[in-house]
Amino acid sequence: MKLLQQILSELGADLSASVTLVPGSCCYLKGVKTILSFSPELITLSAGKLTLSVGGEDMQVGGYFEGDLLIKGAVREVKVEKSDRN
Amino acid sequence: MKNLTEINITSPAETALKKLQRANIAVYDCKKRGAEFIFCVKDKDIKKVFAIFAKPCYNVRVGRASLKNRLLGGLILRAGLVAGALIFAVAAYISGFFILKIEVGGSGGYLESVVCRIAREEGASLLKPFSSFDSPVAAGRILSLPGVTFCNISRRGSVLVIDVETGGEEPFKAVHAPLVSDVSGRVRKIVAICGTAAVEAGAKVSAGDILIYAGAQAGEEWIEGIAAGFAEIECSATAEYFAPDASDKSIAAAYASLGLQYGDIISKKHSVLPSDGGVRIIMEIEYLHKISINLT
Repeated sequence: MKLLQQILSELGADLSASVTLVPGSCCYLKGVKTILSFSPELITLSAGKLTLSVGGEDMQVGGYFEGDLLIKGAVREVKVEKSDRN
Repeated sequence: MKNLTEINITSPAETALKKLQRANIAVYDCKKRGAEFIFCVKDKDIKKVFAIFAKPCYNVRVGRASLKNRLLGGLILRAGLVAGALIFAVAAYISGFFILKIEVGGSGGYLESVVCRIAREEGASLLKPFSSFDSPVAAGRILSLPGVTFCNISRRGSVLVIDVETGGEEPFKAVHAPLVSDVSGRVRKIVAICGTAAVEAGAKVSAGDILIYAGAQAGEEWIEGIAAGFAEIECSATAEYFAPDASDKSIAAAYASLGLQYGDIISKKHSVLPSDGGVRIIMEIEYLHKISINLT
């Protein structure tokens, strides 16, 4: 974990927003500003300048607090796009 | 996390999540069921949730209370039952400290009254604490009772159980009657361990005469008690024996026929009289008859 943080820091990445995916189990996201849409197949999130679309099956929000979001279920894809609002 | 309360709200999930996020409320296990949005919050946040969705347009309700709240609510609803159960438990616990019953068992059950009296004297009265009962002393006293070979004192809940076993021999039971002669004769010896001798050595007695009284004279007062002692009475008897002849063998057979009927024979003599087909041997004997009372 320290190595990852070191690499990301050297790359100048924004560590306030990140996605951790455990295939077939869950997806953990940091820096979520708001949930734009929510259904078992698609969850759309706003993370500042980015919009994240999480697709899968039987998904549900396992926990959401202070920008940390846990999505339970079979997550198939995470799509990152620049937000249209910016 | 088990201590979460499930909230059902008729609202778009996105709107509800936005409002909850703004209020810094952590939400868990969010899902949609038709028009309803279902989520869980910690117990401490329930009031906040209801405050956020206080407007009539939101139909908000608790779907399933947390385990803690369900238990608490159940206890409050059944306060009487809980109080009764608690009182019962406390009463049962406290009653275990006190003696509510004394049970005497075993083959020595016939000694129940004596055993209970000993137990009471050693502090085992009803409603008295077990701690006031001196078990070793009581066991020792019970073991000293006649015929008792085993004694075990135990506790079963609030019942004091005393197991008493007696030996095969019947315990000695005193006869509360005077010593009465069952024969006629002359008293050779009389010994009164308890009670008062009614006759002296050398006195003539008949069957039914009292030999030892069950009591004693104390000044002018007669005190009832028991008679214990023995007497030896010299008695005489006559017996006949029919024999074919008066030979020594026939005489010996005649005396042998007396057997042990007369106990210790002191003196004997006989005469022979002719009879049809043989002789009649007439035996005159003196014997010592022993009689006793309350001696083991």
